[in-house]
Amino acid sequence: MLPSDLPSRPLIAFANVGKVYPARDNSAEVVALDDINLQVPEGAIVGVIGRSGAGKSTLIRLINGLERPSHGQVLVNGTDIAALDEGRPREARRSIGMIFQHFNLLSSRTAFENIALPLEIAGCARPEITSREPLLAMVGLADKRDRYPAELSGGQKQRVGIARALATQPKVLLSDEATSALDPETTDQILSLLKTINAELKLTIVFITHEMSVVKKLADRVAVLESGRIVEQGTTYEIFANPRHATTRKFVGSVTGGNAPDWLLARLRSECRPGDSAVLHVAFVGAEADQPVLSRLSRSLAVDVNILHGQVETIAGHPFGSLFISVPSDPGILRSIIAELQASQNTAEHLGYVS
Amino acid sequence: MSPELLQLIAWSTVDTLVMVGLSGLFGTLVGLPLGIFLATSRSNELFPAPATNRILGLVVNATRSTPFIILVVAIVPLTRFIAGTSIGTRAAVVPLTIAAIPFIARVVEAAIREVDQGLVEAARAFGASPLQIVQKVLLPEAMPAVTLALTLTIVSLLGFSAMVGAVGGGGLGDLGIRYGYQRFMPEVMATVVLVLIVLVQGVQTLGEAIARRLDKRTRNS
Repeated sequence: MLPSDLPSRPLIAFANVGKVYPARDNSAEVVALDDINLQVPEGAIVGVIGRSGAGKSTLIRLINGLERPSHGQVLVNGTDIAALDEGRPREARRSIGMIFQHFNLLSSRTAFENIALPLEIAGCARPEITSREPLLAMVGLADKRDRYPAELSGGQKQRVGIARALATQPKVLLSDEATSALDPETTDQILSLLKTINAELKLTIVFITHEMSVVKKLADRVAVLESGRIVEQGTTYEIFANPRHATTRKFVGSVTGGNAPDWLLARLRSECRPGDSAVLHVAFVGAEADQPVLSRLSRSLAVDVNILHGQVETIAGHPFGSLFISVPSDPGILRSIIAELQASQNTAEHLGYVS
Repeated sequence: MSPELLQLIAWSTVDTLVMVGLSGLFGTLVGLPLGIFLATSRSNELFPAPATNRILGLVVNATRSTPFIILVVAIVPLTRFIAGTSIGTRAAVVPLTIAAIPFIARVVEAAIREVDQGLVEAARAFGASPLQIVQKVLLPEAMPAVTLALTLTIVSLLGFSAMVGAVGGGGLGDLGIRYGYQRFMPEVMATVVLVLIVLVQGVQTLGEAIARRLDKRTRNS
């Protein structure tokens, strides 16, 4: 079963949300977000992907009230954060943890003192603060309790950031490009830590990123943001298997090998010369991805299939393949090849010809 | 040098230390909060009060641009009102404090503005009130810079304190002028300068040592 249906009522709901920054002395009015509708089911991990300036930062800051919407409503657990009186949003924020790209740890406090900060802010007594020490072990920093941030690596700093965000036992964790300043290996470690936390604490996670690889590894659901609008959203698998919007295709292609390699693009032509082969892009999705589709094709139509470029991997627990193949260019045979490929739930797109 | 002269130098040193110590203390008591306010009260900041911010900024600038010797003379009535007299060491504390306040306010403002805005945002995300942000984020993070700023202030006050000698303020500067210059006793002048050099060096070294201990941004555990 694909998790496309929302299993429970959304914990966070954006309804027709817009955000406009009014014109200032030397800059025109900026529409940061426009008509955003987004639901985050309880316990889900939802990713929002977009390029710089797409409005991701504004979107995530609307959830904990660091920004107020110009129109529409953002409901968190049924409460409209923007409508709360002065002081009350602070209470609400304590049920929402947040981690940051540059960690934002206090340099003057040790790892555990940083974790204690939100608790001090909430007015917790000493014994209650010390009772959260197991958080250090949970993020794998039991031996770094009294270290200052300057003595920690990037990944360790983000672990402190995660423990700090969890200190007030929030229901929601917001992640603002939390792995963008980390190397690939550390990124993977932080992402799997976030997955563990999601599973063990039933914590809902909303994250923003500009990297599709992060979405692929972390998200259950994804929304693609461009110029302040959500251009596409769905389960991670749906988005990867069947991206519709051009921006989504670019993002998806960046990690699935769905973008043709440069050497192929350079040789590709639109008209067919004698002796040319046709180039197809085939995406294998769902149950078909582990079937011997190409060898079946080769046998049933008696054609030679040559793989030019491709990748097979697992996305959101499902196998997913993307191949560029060359086949005979005879129009009749080409039609039957495409028909046969599409008959089995795959997408096949004719890109052009190569000699 | 005669024992009397040496004793005079010793007493003058004490006078200077008292003047600088008291004006540094009172200056900090007023200048530190003022600096925090200046750093957090523009529009869109923690305590938005742009009009008050601008007015206080003007007052601070005006005080800072008044030459100290003119300030000393100009506020004689105020000095007499606060200290009960307009001459002597006690009276000198008043103009020194008045000069120290805007100086401290500006250096503290600069130190606080240096704190990474990301930390303020993180604290807001955890539900911190503006006052908690000042208390738990801005001040602790700015502390090394504030310490260096106060060191700078003390050193400047040592220089200023030599000038109040001109209006009978006492202290090392006064001694240098009266004995070293007016009675032409170069050995007194030289000793005064030497003592001032030692004081400045000591204050600077101490300030830097404290700032280094407070600063956890480098790996020097």
